[in-house]
Amino acid sequence: MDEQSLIQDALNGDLDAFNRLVLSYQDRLYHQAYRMLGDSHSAADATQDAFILAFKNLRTYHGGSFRAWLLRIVTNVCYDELRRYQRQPITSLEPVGDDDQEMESPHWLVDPGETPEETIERTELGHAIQHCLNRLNPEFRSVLVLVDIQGLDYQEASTALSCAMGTIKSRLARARLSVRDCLQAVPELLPSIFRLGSEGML
Amino acid sequence: MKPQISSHDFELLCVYVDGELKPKDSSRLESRLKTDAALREALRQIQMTKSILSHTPTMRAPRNFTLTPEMVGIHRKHTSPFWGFAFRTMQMSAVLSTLLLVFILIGDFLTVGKLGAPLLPAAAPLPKQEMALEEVSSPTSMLPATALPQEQAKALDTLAVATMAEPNKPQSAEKFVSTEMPEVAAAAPPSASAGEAAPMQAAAELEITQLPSTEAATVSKETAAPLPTATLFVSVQKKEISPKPTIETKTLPPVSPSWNLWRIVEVGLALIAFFSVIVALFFSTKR
Repeated sequence: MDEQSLIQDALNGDLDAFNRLVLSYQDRLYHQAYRMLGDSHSAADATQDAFILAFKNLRTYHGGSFRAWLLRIVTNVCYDELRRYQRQPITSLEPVGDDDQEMESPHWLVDPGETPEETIERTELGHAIQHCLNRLNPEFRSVLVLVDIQGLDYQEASTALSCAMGTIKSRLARARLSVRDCLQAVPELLPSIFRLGSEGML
Repeated sequence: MKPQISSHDFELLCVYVDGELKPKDSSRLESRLKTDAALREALRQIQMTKSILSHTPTMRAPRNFTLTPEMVGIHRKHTSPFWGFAFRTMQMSAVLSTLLLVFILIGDFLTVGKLGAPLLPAAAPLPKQEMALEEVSSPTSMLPATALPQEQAKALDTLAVATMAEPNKPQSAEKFVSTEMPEVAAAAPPSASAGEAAPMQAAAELEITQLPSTEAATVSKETAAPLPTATLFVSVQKKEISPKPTIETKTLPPVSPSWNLWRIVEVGLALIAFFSVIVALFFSTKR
């Protein structure tokens, strides 16, 4: 069954049809929420809230990219969560590293498909990128995550963020400039393939 | 090394890297790239940054985020049609009986004055029917032992003796009686002989009116002025006087059948409404 049929069934109150859409997009939405919030628990909550909001407001979807529509919802939920962070700073009970970043939980390290070195590199790259993303303004961060991490084109990003195309371009340029400077400051956190040429590349 | 380029050029390079630049602008930028080393360095750094970001580890959802009916406020119904029908029936019964009860109560309150009017005339003849006493042979014989204390009994005896001794002044006790229940005197038959019946009347009326103490009789006796005996007659029949004693018993006030019917209907409706609600609540848990 194609996506539009599932959406139509969900519009008629078929929760099972909507849950099939949830299974299709949950990784993407969770990834977006995680990169926006930098915390797995908050990202999970935001993802769940986003799907609930999506089902309740499904009638406001008037065609176009369903992925962009869902990403818009989860991004808005993340904005709300970030605003709540600013009002009530949360101290995580998870162990943190020297750079005040939350240490990955052991279950993230358990992956039979990766060698320990690959896992460490992947984790370090994730740390480095998340560290730089956290320094961005949420509006710039959302554009960067949507375009450079989620792979949306400008039109989809414009739809997802309800911004003009020119705003998307300018925000993306400023976000990339900031991330470039941030990554140059922490070359030791980059994987080896980027680190080797980092001095010449970045 | 950070190439020194303007923010506008940096934005153009970003759009160019993403393939979103218009062909005309793209060709113009490419011609500039051939001659501007700083622009080329900036382009390389942007491509590297984009590459690093695209290698960002994908975060997989730690769990499924599928929705349950409770999450979105949907209550699925798995009941048979019977429970739903029974619930609706009981619900309707409760509503209808409550409405009827309310209407009847409202009508009851609105017509309470009108309903009271016909009831009063039915109770009006009471003095003649109710207040008549059973036949008595002597003033003291009719006094119940428990109705009056000993001193009251003595007072009554004294009063009876006094009135018998002074047949011309029987007005004292009768006056007291007549002041207490004038309607009784008005309703009494005028043919009775007041002079002979006076002592009995006095004692009898004392019983009826529950004369509290001897003082009342004494005071009434002392202060009573002579009154016409015809106006002081009460409905007491003495056996020796009346050859045909009327034995009358106390009767309850007549009750209107419609009055009882409405009360029964009200109580019935209230019970139906109450039990309908209870049963409807039970069915609601089943459906």
